[in-house]
Amino acid sequence: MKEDNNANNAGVGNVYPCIYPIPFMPQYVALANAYVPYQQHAKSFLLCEALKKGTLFPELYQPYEVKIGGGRHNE
Amino acid sequence: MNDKEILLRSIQEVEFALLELNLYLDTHRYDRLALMEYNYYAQNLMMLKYNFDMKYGPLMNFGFSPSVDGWRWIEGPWPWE
Repeated sequence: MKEDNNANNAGVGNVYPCIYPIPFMPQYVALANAYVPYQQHAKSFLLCEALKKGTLFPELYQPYEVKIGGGRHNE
Repeated sequence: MNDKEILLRSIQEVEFALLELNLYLDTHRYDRLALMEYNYYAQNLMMLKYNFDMKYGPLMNFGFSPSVDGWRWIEGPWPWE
């Protein structure tokens, strides 16, 4: 498995024993930079559920919860 | 939902899962679990589409299944039907 050190692995290319050559967060982060954590996927939704929920990955499923009585009332 | 809609729905579900896996594999090219899942669903999709084709007529107007006795594409319903 070729280990590809792409941009977000700013640190030394350390290989993790799991399937990901790329760590969840880079080892040495540069200041004033934004980093997106690397998605680590294990379990998928059932197909019918995935189509309803709009994603196959439980870790990416973030619906907007309706808060009862939430939001501004008085304009 | 009749049998045709059920089959169409499962085709949509499998295609959606494959699209998701495609996007995921773009950034995780060596994820064996996702690769296995992708290969399984890709094969499953081919089978589903072939079944639909044989039962209800071609899904795509060219490039997928043969039309032996007459051009089957025009036998299918129009989009608004």
